[in-house]
Amino acid sequence: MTTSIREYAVRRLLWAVPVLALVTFIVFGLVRLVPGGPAVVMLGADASPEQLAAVRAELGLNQPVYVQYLDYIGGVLGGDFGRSYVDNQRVGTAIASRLPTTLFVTLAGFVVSLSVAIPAGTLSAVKRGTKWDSVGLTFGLLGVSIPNFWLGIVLLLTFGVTYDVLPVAGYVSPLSDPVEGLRYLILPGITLGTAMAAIVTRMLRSELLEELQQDYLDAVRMKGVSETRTLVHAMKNAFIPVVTVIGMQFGYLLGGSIIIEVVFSIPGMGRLLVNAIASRDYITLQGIVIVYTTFFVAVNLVVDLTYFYLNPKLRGES
Amino acid sequence: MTGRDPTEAATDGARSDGAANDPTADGGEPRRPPTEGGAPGEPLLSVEDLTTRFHVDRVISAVDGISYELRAGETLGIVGESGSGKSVSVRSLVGLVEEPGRIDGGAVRWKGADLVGAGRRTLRSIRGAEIGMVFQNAKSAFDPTYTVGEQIVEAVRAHRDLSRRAAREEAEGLLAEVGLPDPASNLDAYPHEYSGGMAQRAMIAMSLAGEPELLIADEPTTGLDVSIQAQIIDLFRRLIREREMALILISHDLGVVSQVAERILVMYAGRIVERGTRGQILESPRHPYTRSFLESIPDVDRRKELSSIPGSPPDLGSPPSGCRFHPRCPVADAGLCDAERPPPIDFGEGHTATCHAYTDAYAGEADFEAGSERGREVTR
Amino acid sequence: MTGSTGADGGPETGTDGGEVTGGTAAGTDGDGSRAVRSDRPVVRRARRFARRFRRNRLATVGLLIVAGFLVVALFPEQIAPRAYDVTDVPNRLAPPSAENPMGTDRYGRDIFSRVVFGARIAFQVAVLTPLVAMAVGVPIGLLAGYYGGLLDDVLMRVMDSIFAFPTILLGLTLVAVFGQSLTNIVLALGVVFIPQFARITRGSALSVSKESHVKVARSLGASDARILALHVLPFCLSAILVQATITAALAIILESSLSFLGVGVPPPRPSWGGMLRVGKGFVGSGEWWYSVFPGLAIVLSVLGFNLLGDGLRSVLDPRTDPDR
Repeated sequence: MTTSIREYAVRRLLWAVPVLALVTFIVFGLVRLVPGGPAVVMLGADASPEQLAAVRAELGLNQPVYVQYLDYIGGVLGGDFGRSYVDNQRVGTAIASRLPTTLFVTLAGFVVSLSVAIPAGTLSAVKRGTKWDSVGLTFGLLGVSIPNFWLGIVLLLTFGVTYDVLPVAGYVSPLSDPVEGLRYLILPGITLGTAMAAIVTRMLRSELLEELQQDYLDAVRMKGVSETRTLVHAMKNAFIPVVTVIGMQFGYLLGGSIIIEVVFSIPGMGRLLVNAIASRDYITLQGIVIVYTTFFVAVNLVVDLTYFYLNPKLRGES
Repeated sequence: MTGRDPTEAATDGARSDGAANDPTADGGEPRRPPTEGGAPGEPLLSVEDLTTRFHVDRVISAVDGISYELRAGETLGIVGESGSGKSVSVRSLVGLVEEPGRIDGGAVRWKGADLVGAGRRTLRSIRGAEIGMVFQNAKSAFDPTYTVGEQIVEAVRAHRDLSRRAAREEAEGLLAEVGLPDPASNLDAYPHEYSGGMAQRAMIAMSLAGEPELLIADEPTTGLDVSIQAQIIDLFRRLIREREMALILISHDLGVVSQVAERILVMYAGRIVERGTRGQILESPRHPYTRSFLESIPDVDRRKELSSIPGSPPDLGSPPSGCRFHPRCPVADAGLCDAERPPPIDFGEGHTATCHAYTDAYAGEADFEAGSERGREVTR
Repeated sequence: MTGSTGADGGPETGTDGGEVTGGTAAGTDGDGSRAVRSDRPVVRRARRFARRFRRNRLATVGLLIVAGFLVVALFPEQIAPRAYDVTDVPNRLAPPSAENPMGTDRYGRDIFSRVVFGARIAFQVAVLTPLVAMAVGVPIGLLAGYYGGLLDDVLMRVMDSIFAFPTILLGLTLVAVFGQSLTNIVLALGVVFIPQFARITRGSALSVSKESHVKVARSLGASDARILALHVLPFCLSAILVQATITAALAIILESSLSFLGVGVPPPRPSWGGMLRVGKGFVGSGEWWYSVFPGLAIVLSVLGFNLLGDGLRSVLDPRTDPDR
């Protein structure tokens, strides 16, 4: 019985939902573990018991945790993430306005990373043992050893200060001004994408090396097919495990974007998150973390589906 | 397309009397005329002193100066144990030998043109369209991420300008021609869904897509069930007859080779030690290796101790001097056989063997008679 | 991939099955006799391992770097010319010189000394985090891989939900909630890396559990705990070790990232990430040394662990190295 893509997708979706629920519950619960509870945080340690009780009643903090959780989730599904402790603005609105920015930053990292990794990994494998290969390997090693925020700072120093060709801080949405937007995304993209590029390069290289030894490639050549097409055959196979790695790396990109936004002063969700932590605004923190995690689970789902699609052996016997 | 029932083929192959196994005795059908291949009478393929070596930390001499010819429509068998160089030699023909191996000498003339050192484009135009190849272990010869149909279509479209639909029909026809049931749905299956025998048929179909004049089969039946082997052998015989192809069949199994090939080359340690028609080889082997090889084939009917060739295959990185078989040869003449490379001895009618024992200089114990009883009982 | 043996001939690591066996498993003695742990085979194996390790240049470099940092982390007072909090305001923001090889910070403190002291925190994190992660992750992995079935499913789902968090996010959240202290950071980071250890251990445990010697032990009546400890765990050790070096490298990066964001080890203890946090503010005004040097320290130490990990991986299980 072969499993169709649709069946698999449904199965994975059903699996993802409990994971997501568990994850959001963990976040929710964590926030409530803050010593003293959210009420103390809001009003300060020297608030009177009556004030605390009033706030607790208003926020529904006296109800059992799971009730609170369900209330909250109900709100979230409707777009209501609550209101920030700090400025009483709707968290949902704050997130929504910054979400596209974070997505663009993450996307920039993703694009940079793959545009470097795919050629580098392929070249490294095909020209194995030569200078190109050494370059690729060195890049692979350094890429994972350099913390992204430091790389960002160094790039800032070089291209923003010493040579002043690229902007040092701020952000312009590519939707409103593609050229300027791109300029603002170059350094963040490179900074964010380097580590992932290094990892994917290494992985692609080793998978491709192994694949190039496979028997079927000679059969492909004997059909009279060009060497390039033969390479494409090998790459398609080698790419399958690499896809999973790319998916895993997306989590890194999401998390890394937080730091990148701080380094380059980009007004995205990450900056909001860091500020929320500094000001102990737990409701905002909660909302942002849930959004990030949902994205990550969604991306993993897509990666799994892609993997299933690419690797026919998973579909079972017909 | 004859659409034969596979079980019919199985019973064909199971018959053990000589007539059904002689590929030329086809109900009186005349031998096919030679197809293109330069002037009539010119060999289609001419291998001249081919030498292939692997250059790693030392030099491994895998193929050491072999020469033979093949005419259009002929079937040639190459037998030898693992490490004899038979696979490497045919891979060298079509340029499939890659670093650290390379062709260090000799020529491979296909229709007169030398393929050794030929450009990539020349090789590509020949592969598939003029020379096809079938490998051992069919399942691993397919890309697991594409359906079999897609891969056969790729083979078809590599040399012919057909639309995808037309190519697909071609592919379906090919699958039917090789005897696969239900070709239409099998086209859309993935290689891992095929059984061993089916996969082998599919690979044969794929190799025929370009309508080659020569088909090279490298251990096509190894690893398959005996009954499936018989079916595949019959398939080969039918295909070469219907398509008027030449065939080079490689195997370590003399029984398989002798059912298909008119002429046989026996290889050992990178060299051809004996060549002749199948009758000559089976009934009157001349070279000590060929004799030992035949002797070592177990015989169900005759009660006889299992014998094997003593020693192990030589290290081709530092091969034995002189005749490469001399360390294992029961009748080697020390001083001669380990010093000089043996000359080819002609026994008439194209039957030659390279062995010192038939020369005047030989001072060893051998006293070979012509003919050997073993020959007749090899065929199954 | 060539199925190869060590360059000095003879079967090196486990040649049976395909599992990662490393230099610690028994069964590689020619006669295939099982794990009677006499000294001689172990000593022989350890020597073989050391020899192959030395031959791998990168691994040796990695080991040297890590060892170097260990020394710095253990004896900062001896190495640093000054204490990390000695201020010298008139000399603030001075560029690198003979007196201050890495320049001074905004309070005039010698950056080189602060970098040296910062190694201590980095190392504590690098060593303790994998230990914490292992302490929880390895048992989980063993249980999941050995028993399989429902237990495996449940455990791995839990692991997956931790894995569902981008690492920085998880670290941030945990520290934000529980407060900033070295202990909390190590614990938080440890939690972050539990799933990796669980998965790696589970993978090895799974393949080992199918091996015959485990079945034999079970049929002889050995308790599960004994089997896990004596027969399954040793096969997982090399993979765990490699993962530990990777985790150490990641932990250093993660901790410095947290410090950079202001959520790391609180001042005045010098941490490399914290220095970069302040240093970034001086990028525009040209005091580049404030940001470059602490960052270099991070890069170097992480590189050391990565090289070590890579080297260990190719030494312990040459089959996974595509360059063999």
